Amino acid sequence: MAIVTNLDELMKEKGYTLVKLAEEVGISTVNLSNIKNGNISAIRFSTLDEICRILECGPGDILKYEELTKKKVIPLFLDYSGTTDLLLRGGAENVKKFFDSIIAMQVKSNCEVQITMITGSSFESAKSKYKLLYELAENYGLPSLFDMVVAEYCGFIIKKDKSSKLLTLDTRLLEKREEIEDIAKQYGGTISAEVTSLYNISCDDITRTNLAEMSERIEEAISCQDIETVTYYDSYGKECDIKPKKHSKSEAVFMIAKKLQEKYDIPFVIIGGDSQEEDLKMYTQNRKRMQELGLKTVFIAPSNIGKITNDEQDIIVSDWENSDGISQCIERLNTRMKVKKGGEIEL
Amino acid sequence: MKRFILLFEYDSKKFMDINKIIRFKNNLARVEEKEKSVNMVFYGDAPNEELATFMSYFNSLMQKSICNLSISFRTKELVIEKGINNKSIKLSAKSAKEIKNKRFDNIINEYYCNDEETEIKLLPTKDWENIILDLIGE
Repeated sequence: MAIVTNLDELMKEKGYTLVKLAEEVGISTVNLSNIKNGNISAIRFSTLDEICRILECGPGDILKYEELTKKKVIPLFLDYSGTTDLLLRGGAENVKKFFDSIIAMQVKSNCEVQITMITGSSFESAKSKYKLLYELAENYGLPSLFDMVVAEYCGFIIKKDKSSKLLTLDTRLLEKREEIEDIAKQYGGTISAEVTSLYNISCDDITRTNLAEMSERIEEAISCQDIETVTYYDSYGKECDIKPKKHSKSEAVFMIAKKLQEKYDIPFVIIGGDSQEEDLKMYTQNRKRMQELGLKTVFIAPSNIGKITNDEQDIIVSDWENSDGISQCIERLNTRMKVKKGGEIEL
Repeated sequence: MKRFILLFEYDSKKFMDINKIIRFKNNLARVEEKEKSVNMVFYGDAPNEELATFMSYFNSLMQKSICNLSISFRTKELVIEKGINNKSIKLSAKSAKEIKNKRFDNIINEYYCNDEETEIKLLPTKDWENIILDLIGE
């Protein structure tokens, strides 16, 4: 349930830009942007009054009440290269088996399974692979399965191109580089890394408020609806980054899980990886903090993952070397999953 | 053994289809039973990296190294799939002009040995999974 704003449409209708309206109302563009995007918990009557006067409308044209129900989604985080190679190695029949196991899980849980691939490869390379995987799934009737790919070295600006449903780089970011850098500088930040048109911005000493403000301003500068800047706070909440200083798959998983939780009703999160130590960390470093967020985590892994034992309740292992191991894990998870009458899921 | 080089326009959406690939695999087995071998070559407006990844994925899904050569109209290069060691070769101005007119014979013959037993066929992508049955008259 939520109060939603219709300010965006009204502004377009009346020919107002964010800057122009903010000036006339007498508030900052950041504040007006927050109102427009619904990122507020309260609004002053005097502000509402001014907006209504300028846009020649009533409060009911700006604010409305909508009952929102979150879509039920099971996020599946998969290490990209190793897992994909294993899946494909078994041929088309093996991929079919994997897709069937996903469909069975969706039917039983009444949730949509969404895979986020976490990769260390370059974004260009990830993009080609992602496109093909996306098409395989879409042709099999799973258009939402490959939700996104995160190229860890590219940071956390994630774009989903609506027209082609692909993650692509956006040249508009390149055009805005100077502007983004200027904004970052004003908050003591720098573009610490960049891969083609994706930027990581680090600030050594910044408050949460300033960080949020900087993110807003960058988003405004980018002005692309399909691009998302994601704010990361370090574990102490003192020093903050736009992205973690240390690139890691586990940080990416945690950050994205948090974002997905805002958007979806998540019964549990599945993390899968091959035998790399970094993959194991996606689970071990996240299990507790995900729990604190109210997210149950299950790790699916090959039996040779090491350093963990089969006794761990939330770890499901199988022989991934046989290439249908991932499907086996999903099938076992499916068997274990209990769906109660009200739709509540227990593992 | 008669060898066919089948040329298709690159269209990942059409070829990245599990059910079609499985059907194609079965049809290919029937063709091979008749002492005929098949290789596929893709051409189209795509970057080299995408074509190389596509060939690698397609071969994995087929569990057979059936496609090792693509022609990128975008870069005017031949893309050769060799596992992780992909290679690309710039086309000569003459060849680039030829491919623009969809004349691939010279390029293909340069890559594959040119003998009487090899036949190059430019095929449509529609119903690509069944079209190879034409090679054995089915």
